[in-house]
Amino acid sequence: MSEAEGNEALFARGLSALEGGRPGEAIAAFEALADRGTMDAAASFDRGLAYAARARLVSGAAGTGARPGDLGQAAHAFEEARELSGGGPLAVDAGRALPILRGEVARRRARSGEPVELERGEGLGHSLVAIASEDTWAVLALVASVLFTVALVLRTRGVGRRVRVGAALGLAFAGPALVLFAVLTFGARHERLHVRDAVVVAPSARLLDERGIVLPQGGAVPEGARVRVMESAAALARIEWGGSGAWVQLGTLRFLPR
Amino acid sequence: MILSVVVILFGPRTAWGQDVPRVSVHLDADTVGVGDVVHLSLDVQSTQGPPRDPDPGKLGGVVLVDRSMSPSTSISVFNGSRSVTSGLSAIWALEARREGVHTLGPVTFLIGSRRFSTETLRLRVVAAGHAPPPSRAPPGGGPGNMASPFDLWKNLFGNDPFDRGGGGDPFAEPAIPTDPRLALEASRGEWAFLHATVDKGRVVVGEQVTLSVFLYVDVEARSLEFRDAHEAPLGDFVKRPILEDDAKQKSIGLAQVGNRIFDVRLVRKSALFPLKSGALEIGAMTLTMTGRGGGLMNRESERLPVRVDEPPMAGRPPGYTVGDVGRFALSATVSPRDLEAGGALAVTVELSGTGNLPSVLPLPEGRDFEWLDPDVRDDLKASGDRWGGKRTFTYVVRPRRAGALSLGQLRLPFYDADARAYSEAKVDLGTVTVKENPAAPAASASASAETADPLSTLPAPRPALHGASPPRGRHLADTPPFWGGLVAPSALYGLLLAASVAVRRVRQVAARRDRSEAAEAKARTLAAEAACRGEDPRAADGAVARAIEGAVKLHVGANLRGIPVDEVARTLESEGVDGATARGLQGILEACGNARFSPDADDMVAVRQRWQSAKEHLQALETRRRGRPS
Repeated sequence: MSEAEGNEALFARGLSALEGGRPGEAIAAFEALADRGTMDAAASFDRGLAYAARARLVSGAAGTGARPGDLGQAAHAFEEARELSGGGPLAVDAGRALPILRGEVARRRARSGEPVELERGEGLGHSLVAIASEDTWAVLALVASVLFTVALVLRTRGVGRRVRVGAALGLAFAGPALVLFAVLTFGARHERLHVRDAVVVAPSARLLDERGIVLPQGGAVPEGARVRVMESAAALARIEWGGSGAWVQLGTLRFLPR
Repeated sequence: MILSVVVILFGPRTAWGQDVPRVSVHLDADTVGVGDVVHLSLDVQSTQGPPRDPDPGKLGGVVLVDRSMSPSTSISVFNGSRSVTSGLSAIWALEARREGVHTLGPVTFLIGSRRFSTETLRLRVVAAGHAPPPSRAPPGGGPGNMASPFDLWKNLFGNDPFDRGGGGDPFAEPAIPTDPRLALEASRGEWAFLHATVDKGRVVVGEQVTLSVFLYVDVEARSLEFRDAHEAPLGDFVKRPILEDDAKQKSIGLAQVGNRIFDVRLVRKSALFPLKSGALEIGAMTLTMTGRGGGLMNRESERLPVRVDEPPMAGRPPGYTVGDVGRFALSATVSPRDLEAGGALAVTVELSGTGNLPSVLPLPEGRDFEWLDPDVRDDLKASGDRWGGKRTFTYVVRPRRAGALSLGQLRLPFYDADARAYSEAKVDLGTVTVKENPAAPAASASASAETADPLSTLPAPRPALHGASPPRGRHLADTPPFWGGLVAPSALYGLLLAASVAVRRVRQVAARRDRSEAAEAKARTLAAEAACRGEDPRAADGAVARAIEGAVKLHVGANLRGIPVDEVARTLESEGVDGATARGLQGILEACGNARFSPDADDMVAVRQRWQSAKEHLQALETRRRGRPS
C-alpha cells in the first residue's frame, strides 16, 4: 500500500470515528496523519472537529472525556486548515469555526472566574506589515522605484514648466513611497523567515521572564489564542501577543505551518 | 562458564620465562539476545615489552558501548635473574544489534612495533528475550587463566596464583583475583572514588537505561567512612530503583585500577526512562568521605551523556503516545455482565510487562457508557535488570441506556525497543446486558445541554482529503535582483546625470580657459598694433614680443616665457609647428630682443616690418590650430 493510499485509509478511519461519536479514536488517526508529515487542509479541519467533539464530552470520564487543551488543539487545527486551504469554502468554514471555539473558551473561563480576553490588537509594526502580502509590498516598491526614476528623468531632462513641476511632485511622492514600501517588504520578509505563528494548546500559557520565572505582574495567554513566536530557547519561547512580549513554556504552544 | 575462548601461545616457551606473549581472548557468552550486552576480554602477558593499543577488530552485528583497559607489571627475581612481565587486560562491552551468527575480531595489540592478532570469535545473536540466561565468568576467572593443567592450587585461590605473569614462577607473589570487567585504566581519586556506567548510550524516549554507580575503595585504605550521598540529578528521566536497598553497599569483587587493587561496591543501580528526546545528561552522584584524620573529601561520579531519539515515524500506529516503550500485555475482567439501568459495573484491567508502563490507558469510546476515573494499583519492581511488573486499573462504568451493549476493545500501542518495532496490546471487553429499570432517572439533561452547546453549531466534517496545497511560489523579495531593482534605475540615472554634469563642467572650464587666453592674445595684439603706430621703437618691440608669446600660448599651448630665445624654434617644432614658422618667430623674437636692449634704438620702420612678419607667422599658427580637431 502506497503512502498516499495509507493516508486515505487513515483519513477514512478518522472520519468514520468522528461520525461514529468516537472523537478520541478520530484524533489518534488525524494526529497519526500529521505525524507522517501529511499537511492537508481537510484533515486539519476534521481534526479540529474531533478535538471540539471531545471537548464537548463530560469532563472527568477517564480517558474518554475532555482533556485540558482540547479547545486549543481544535483552534490550532482550524487555524492550520485556514492556512493550508489557501482560501475557498474550507477557509470560510474554518474561519467560522474559530470564533465559536474561542467563544466557548471565553465562556468556560468566565465560568471559572478567569479573564476572558482571548484576542488582543497587534503591535503597530505587525499591523502595518499585515495589511497586505509580502509580494504586494514588493510590487508596490518596484512601482515606486520606477515612478521615482521617471520623475527624476523628467525633472532633469523635461522641457516645459508644467512637466518639471509635475516631475517634482512625482519625486516628492515616489521617494518616500519607495522607502516605505521597501521597509514594509523587508519587514514582511523578516516575519516570514524568522517569526512563526502558534496557538496555545494548554488551558493557559503563563507569562514568564527569560529565566522561566513567572512575571511579577502575572498574566497568562488563554487557550486557543494565536501568538507570534519570535524565538525559542530550551523549553521556552518568546512570544508576542497583543503587541507585548514575554516568554512562555514551549510545550504550551503548537506551531502553525509557515 | 566461559563459552567462547581462544588461548594462543605465540611460539615456544622457555623453561622459566617466555619470549613470546601469552594471550587469551574470550566472550562471556556465546548466545545473546538483541539489545543484550556481551563482554569481549583480552588478556596479554609479555616479557618483550608492555602490550598496548588493543583493538577489538571487526564487530559484526554488535556495537561498542564501553571499554576499559588495565595495564600491569610484575617483577620476579629467581636465582639472581630478574625478569619483568608486562600485562594488559582489555574489556569491550558490546551491544548486540542484529540477529544472526556474527564473527568478531581478530583482536589485535601492539608490543613494540609489532602487531599481534588473535583468532576470530563467533557470537550468536537471537531475538530479544530468547537468549539463554547469562552465565558470567567468576571474577578473575576464565580459561585464559586456566592454562596450566598442572596447577595444584587453582581451587585454593580461585585462579592460578603461580601463573600470574605467565612465567610459571613458583616464588612470585600470589596474584589477587580481580574482575577484569571492573578494571579501570586509572584511579579517579585517592583511596576511593565513584564510577558510573550506563548499559546503553543511545535509546528512544521511554526506553530503559540502566545506570550503575560503583564505589571503588582501595583495599589498603583504612577507616574510611562515607556519608552525605547526593543522588545524581536526573531531571530528564524517570528513575526507578533496581537495588532493593540503596543504603546497603554490595561488594561485587576486586578490580585492578592502574597498579592498585580496589574493592568495588555497587551503591546504586537504577532504571532510567528518558522523558524527552535530545542529548541528555545523567548528572554526577556525590559522596563525602572521611579519612582516619577526620579530613573530608568529596567524590563524584562521571556525568554520562545519553542520546535520546523519538521512536521512528515509520509504522507508528494511531494513538501511540511517545514514551510508551517496553513490552506490554493487557487482560481484563468485567463484573457483573448483567445489570439494571442506573447500576454500575466494574472493569478491572491489568497491564503487565516490562518497561515504562503508562499510567493512563486509552479507553474505548462511545455514548453507551460513562467511565469514571480509575483506581490504580501498582506492583512494579525490577526483575533482573529490567523494570516492570503489573499495574491494575479498576474502573467504575455506568451504562447510559438499556440493552445488550458492547464495551468495546482496549488497545494500547507501544514501541518494543528490543525488537525495534511497534506492537499493540489489546483486550476485548465483551458485552454487558442492561435491563430496563423504570426507577432509574432519565438521562435527558445532557440532551438539552447539548442543544444549547455552541460547539454543536460547528460546520460538518470534510468527507475527503483536500489534496496537496498549491506550492507556495518564490517570493519576490527572495530573488536577488529585487533589492537591486529597487534602487538600480534611479541610481543608474543619477550616475549618468552626475557623469554628464562632470563632463559639462570640464568642458566649461576648458572653454573658460581658452576664452581668457584668446582675450589675452587679442589684447596683446592690439597693444602691439598701437605701439607700432607710435614713435617708441623699444616699446613697440616689447609689445611685438609679448603679442607673439600670447598668440603662441593660445594657438600652440606652449609658454615661451622663461625659454631661451635660441630654444624657441625647437620648442615650437616639438609642438608640431612647421620649421619655417618656428624659425621665423625665433628670428623675430631675437631681433626684438636685440633692438630693445641695444644702445642705439632701431627705427620704427624696421619694427613695423618685424610686426608685419610676425602677424603672418601667427596667422599660420591660427590656421594650423583651426585645422586640428578640438
